[in-house]
Amino acid sequence: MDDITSRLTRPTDPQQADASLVHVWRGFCDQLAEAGEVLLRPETPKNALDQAEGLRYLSRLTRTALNMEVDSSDPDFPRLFQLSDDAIKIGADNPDNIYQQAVVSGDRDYRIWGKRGTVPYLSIGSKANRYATDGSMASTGEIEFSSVKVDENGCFEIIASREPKPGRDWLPLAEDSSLLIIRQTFEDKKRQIPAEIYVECLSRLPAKPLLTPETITTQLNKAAAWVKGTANMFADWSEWFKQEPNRIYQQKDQSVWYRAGGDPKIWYGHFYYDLKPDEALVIEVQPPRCRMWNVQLDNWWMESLDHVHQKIWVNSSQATYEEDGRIIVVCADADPGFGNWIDLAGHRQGTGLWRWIEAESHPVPTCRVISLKR
Amino acid sequence: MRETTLDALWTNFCKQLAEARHVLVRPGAPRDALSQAEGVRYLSRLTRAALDSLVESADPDFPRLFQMSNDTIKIGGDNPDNVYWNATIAGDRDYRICGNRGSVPYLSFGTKANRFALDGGMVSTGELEDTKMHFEADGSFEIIVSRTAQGGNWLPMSDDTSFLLVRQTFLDRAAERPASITIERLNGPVMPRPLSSDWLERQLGQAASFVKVTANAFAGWAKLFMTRPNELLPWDQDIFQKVGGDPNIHYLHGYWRLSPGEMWVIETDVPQCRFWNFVLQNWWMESADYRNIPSAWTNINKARLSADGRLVIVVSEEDPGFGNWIDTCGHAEGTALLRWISADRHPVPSCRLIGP
Repeated sequence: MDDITSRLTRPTDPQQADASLVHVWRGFCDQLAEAGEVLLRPETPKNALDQAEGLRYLSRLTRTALNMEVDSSDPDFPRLFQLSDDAIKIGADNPDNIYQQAVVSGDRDYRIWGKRGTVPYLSIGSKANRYATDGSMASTGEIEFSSVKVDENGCFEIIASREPKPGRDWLPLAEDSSLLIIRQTFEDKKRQIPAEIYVECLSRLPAKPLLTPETITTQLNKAAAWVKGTANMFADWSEWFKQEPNRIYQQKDQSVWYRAGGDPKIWYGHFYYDLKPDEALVIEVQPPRCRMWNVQLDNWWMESLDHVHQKIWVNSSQATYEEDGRIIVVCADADPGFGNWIDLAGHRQGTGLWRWIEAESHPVPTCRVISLKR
Repeated sequence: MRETTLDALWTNFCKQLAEARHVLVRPGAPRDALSQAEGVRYLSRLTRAALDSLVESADPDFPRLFQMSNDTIKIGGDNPDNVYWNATIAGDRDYRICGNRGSVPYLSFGTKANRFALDGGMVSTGELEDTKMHFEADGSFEIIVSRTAQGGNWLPMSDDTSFLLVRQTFLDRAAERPASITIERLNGPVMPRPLSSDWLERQLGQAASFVKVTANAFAGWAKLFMTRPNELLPWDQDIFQKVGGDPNIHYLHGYWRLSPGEMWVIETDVPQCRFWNFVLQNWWMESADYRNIPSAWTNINKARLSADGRLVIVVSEEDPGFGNWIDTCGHAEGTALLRWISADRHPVPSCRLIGP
């Protein structure tokens, strides 16, 4: 073995006193800077607000990529983290949801336990995460809490593994499963109590291995690649939707959204809005029987708009319905006085998403642009 | 509409962020592979904290609770027994904090003013502890945060107050329920201003600067502690208070360095106190991975005292079979911190090395 190889592969020798990883941080920052090119893509809006939000979006992706790749990526010591939250928004994240993730490995068994809470919809999926390579995230197993045993104290326990666990609540893993996604969907986040969830590896190592220069280098490379890959993937999506502005996008099959990590129980109606000042987008539909629906407004980057401070989405529990049961949603700068107003929050173009959740049919909502000029 | 592209601002941010790398080779910084790898990871953690704080949580009109440190963001001798929440606030506004007490043994609220420009310090402008608060029967509470005195639970501010710090101290995190907390501004604007590129450019600049300045500040502390290796000393308590230390805490910092097989033995009387803990840290002053390593630290609840009531801590690679073992977690050197919290006196431990 030559000198460098032996230094990089043998366990850390505390007496070795000549390492310097200055170049590793430098390399990460250089690679991260490349993600800025997404702001220059020909179709990217060049107005001040969309550009500023794009810049902030890169900082959010950086934060979540580092959290995931550096501090939550050891499948022997799984750590629940939030890939998206109220200030990290990715790929039309759902304002009615809390998402949590954990990095796992298909060749290990995991125990998932906790308290059910009162959140109406709770499901866990296992995924093969290929975001960094080909941008897809395939479902390798799903479990929904309507079929999970919950004891009188509200507690549950699920085993995640490749081999079935008869008599236990079981979440299937595949050989290449690499991620758990826990989805909680609320009708009203203020009123309903979220589930409290813990994960541990049942075949864990006795001790966490020491951090090595190779490991941190690989993690930072992956994080920088993830920022660039994710930003460009959803910019591709916005460009698709933009080809058919102001209507639900139907050129792609639902399987495209599922491959990217979508929930197979949801029908996704993505759309792109492009409105002049004083214009509004009116969306109308007769809802099917379903467990829930919602519609949200996102920016060009497919970040949900600020749902903490602004009314940028509406769901089946919050909505006002017409006498004949129809839903009218109005995407506008101000309340138009009819239907269900959702706020463009200063945006003139961007994306949005309609979801039918566990619906018996999937009617495509109709869209029209109206003028609200007085 | 005027066309603009902001890619240059991202490039600048990344360039400024890269500047922080020089801390890794400051004189005194350990050059072994583990300390260097952890140093790089530390920069990534500081980056996360800086962006969360300065880009997402910086508007005092719409205060947002965030964690400056947690189980994977460790800064300046973070406390494994604590959960901290921070929020940006402003002294000329009023706020309401609502929540539920939970079952955490200690809960306190502090407001702080950043007076680094004036006298080099972060000063306390108001403190409120659970023992001084009124709680409803179900544990719920409400606090008004303002400059002018209020009836009920009141947390004072002064004109230049700029942030809120919520501290919770646990004896046993697995068994105790943390408090739940929300904050809102009273009589404020209804909606945040649209994001502006000027504001964001400034905040990104501050974030990159925070990473560099913070990493270097605590590297400076480690360098100071290196002048008295393998001791735990009070130093000048003002140093620790001026960066936002808790006035109830007496801090004993140290630097340790061990040859293979050597043990660092720390012995002390234990004063009457509400709480104490001892945390072994890497050179960057990050606590070890306490979530996964049970012997990374000890406290008033975990430690066993000797028959005569003395505390013996042994820092070594392997469990020596006596005293309270603290795992070096693969390090040959690093920093350490003993806290006496609300104590009637502040004994300085005697420290010695035992050879292999």
